[in-house]
Amino acid sequence: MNVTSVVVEIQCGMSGAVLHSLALIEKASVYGFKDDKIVVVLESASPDELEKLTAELQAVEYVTGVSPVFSAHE
Amino acid sequence: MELTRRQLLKFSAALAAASAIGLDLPIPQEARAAVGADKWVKGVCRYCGAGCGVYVGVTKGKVVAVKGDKDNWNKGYVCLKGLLLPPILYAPDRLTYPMLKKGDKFERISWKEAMDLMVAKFADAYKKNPNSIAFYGSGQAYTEESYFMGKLFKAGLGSNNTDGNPRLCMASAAVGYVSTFGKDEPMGAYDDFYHSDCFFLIGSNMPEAHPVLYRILREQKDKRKDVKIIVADPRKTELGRKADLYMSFTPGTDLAILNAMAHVIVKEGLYNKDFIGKHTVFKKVVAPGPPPKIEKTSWEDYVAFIEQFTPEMAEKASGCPKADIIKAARWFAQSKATMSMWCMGLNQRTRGVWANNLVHNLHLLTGQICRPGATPFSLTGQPNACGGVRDGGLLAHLLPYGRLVVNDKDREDMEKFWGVPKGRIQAKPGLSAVEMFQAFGKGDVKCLWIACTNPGQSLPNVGEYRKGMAAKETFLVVSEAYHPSKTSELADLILPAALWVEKEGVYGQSERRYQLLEKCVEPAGEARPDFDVMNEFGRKLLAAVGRADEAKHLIPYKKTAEIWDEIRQASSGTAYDFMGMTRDRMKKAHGMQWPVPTASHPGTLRRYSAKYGDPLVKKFDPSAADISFYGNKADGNKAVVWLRPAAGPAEPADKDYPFVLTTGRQIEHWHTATMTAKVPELRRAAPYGFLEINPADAKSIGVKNKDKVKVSSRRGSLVLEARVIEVPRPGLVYASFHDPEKLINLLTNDAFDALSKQPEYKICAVRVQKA
Repeated sequence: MNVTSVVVEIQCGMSGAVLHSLALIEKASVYGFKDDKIVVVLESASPDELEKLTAELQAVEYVTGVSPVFSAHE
Repeated sequence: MELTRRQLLKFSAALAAASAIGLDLPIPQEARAAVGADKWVKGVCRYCGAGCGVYVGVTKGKVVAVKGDKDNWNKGYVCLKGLLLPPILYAPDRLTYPMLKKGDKFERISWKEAMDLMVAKFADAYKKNPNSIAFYGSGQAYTEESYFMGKLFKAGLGSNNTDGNPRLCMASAAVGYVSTFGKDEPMGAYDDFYHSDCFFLIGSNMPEAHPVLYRILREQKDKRKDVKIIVADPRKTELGRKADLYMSFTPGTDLAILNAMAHVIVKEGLYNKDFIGKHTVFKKVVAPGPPPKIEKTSWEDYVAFIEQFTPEMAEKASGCPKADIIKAARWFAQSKATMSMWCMGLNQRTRGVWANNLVHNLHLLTGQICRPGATPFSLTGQPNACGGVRDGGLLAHLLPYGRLVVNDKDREDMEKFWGVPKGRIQAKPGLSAVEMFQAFGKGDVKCLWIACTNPGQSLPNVGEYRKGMAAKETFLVVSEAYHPSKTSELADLILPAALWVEKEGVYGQSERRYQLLEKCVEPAGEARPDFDVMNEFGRKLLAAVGRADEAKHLIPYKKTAEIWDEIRQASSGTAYDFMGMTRDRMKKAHGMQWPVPTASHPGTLRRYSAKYGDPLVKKFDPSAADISFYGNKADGNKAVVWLRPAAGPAEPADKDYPFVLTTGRQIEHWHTATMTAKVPELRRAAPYGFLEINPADAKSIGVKNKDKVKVSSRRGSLVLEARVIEVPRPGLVYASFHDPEKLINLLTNDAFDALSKQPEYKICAVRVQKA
């Protein structure tokens, strides 16, 4: 299992909408947010799944960027 | 609290991401520290000059984790790079034995062979010409190491040819402090963040270069509604985007802006007449020299001088709207307490000292100084640029603790203290960084020892100096933790160096805080602490040049703690005064801020004010009621307001090279990435260098995001990936200097400030074309 944290960057003032959308994504946990950045941790069984999850985040409305920060394997 | 492995990983991952954006996550403390470690040893982060206190987790003789020290100034926070320090010690390219270049290849040799060869080469060159040997040190070396090499060269060998990489990053700040206040180093502290209601940041990318300090700044902005942030920078970084007032300007025109702010302060009567009268003198240069002829002048003369710098004039010169200049001046003067901060944007300039003086001027004119929250404060780039190379006197013009080689009394004092014959220390400053590598290229310096730094990547116009470093006629020794680096690959002899907590020593950071790093683990392979190698080399070299008897008393050390005791003595009675910073106290303390004159003194948060606790005000200026700039005795313990004209860069953009290139840091990496590139997470996050270009400029030259572009200066060219982004202003392009495969310093300009000898990395003219 891979554990990866990402910083999700969003359009200014849209945190409420984005947090609501992120809550619906399985295997994505929101840990906190500040200004227009949200800390999300992803759990994935394979690189393909990680890529899919990242794409899912990127597709959320008002998300402007997804930056990986940390990755570890269990 | 019990954690599963998965939970722990998730907490670690979240914490890393939170640190990257300055977010205080509500993760239980147990989780932060739950990484298995047999013991936690107090230390300091290896990277920037902020000097974050850390605890180093050690298991079975190996560093396994790092966590922030909540009892230190950083309150437990560290940035992502700090959290991910452990892998730097265990990289596969750690250099674990000495190597000698034979033909085009390096071969393993023993330490004895290495030392014998090094001593023979240096002794031979020295006997022919004492100034044909040199040492180039580092703001990352420990204080004891830098002090030792200054002593060996200046007192033992009578050569001032010692310098270091702080010449490339902090020299203008140091000369700025000395020329304004009489002595180097800031009077303020990080504590001022909590008291200031106006922050003026110029030439700093704090969110990326000093992320933990930025965290404090943002926290203060979020908590206190009255806090205003002014940012002056040609790049609109995260800092500029979060500012209350962002001032964009043409690179190199900020001296006009600073003078124009002073103009507004004078014209609108926002100056502090009482403070100016009591605590300042005015000076100007009447003949440029060298050496420059300086005269004292008057407030009236200053007012007449500043008349020309109207906001309209500054707008025309800089492109910064006059309304912004006026607003910045008013906020600066009228706030309860203004704190200025700057970094390489001001220092790495051919007029870096002038720019520093002009920031100090604003504080002196308004009295925004020497009280909580009101201070000029230079941000430092390396963890021990202040402690070792500046304070310890390694730089070519310095002697320890504020003394100068050109000053007769300072030389005599140190000759007496070190017990060498009168006249041993040369009165002429040695070669500064760029001059040293120029002399090495010409063969005037025959033997050069580089320790703990990577000039083969970091020097400006590096292509020129790499040729000199690779020359067969000279002898280059490089002490490094890794091989190959862009410098070790050019060496004749490479010495494996212990890294960070593989050795013991003292770091001194931006706010005069000195901290002890204790040894946590054994060095890799045959690597040795630089201090051990220097100690052995010094004794053997002095013996080889006929000074074996002197070596006995000059180099009596068996461990670094002994040299620290000598350093305390050398600082005693100076404006630094470390006497109370005993090794025992430092082992317990979470850093101590000098001056610390006695073993019971707690350290000094703010200098130059008796009211706020500087114990040296009454010592050096007994009649002072409160504030005394006692470093400036010659000017009656007053600070200097300088009349400095606006002056542009050495190489402005022109029709052949129409863009300005500036360089800087990005958050994932540090310096030449010899360490951060060893950390998989950081390497993956930022694998290669790129060129930032404004969308309008990109459109004008037909470049799209991620296109390859060729960027060329008069010195070299490079192909980089374009990052089209609204960060640099039109006309400006930016590249980080971290990527060893994309040496941006092939393009940068090695012209340097005549006063500080610091090169102008921040501005050179380039051409950009689609590759």
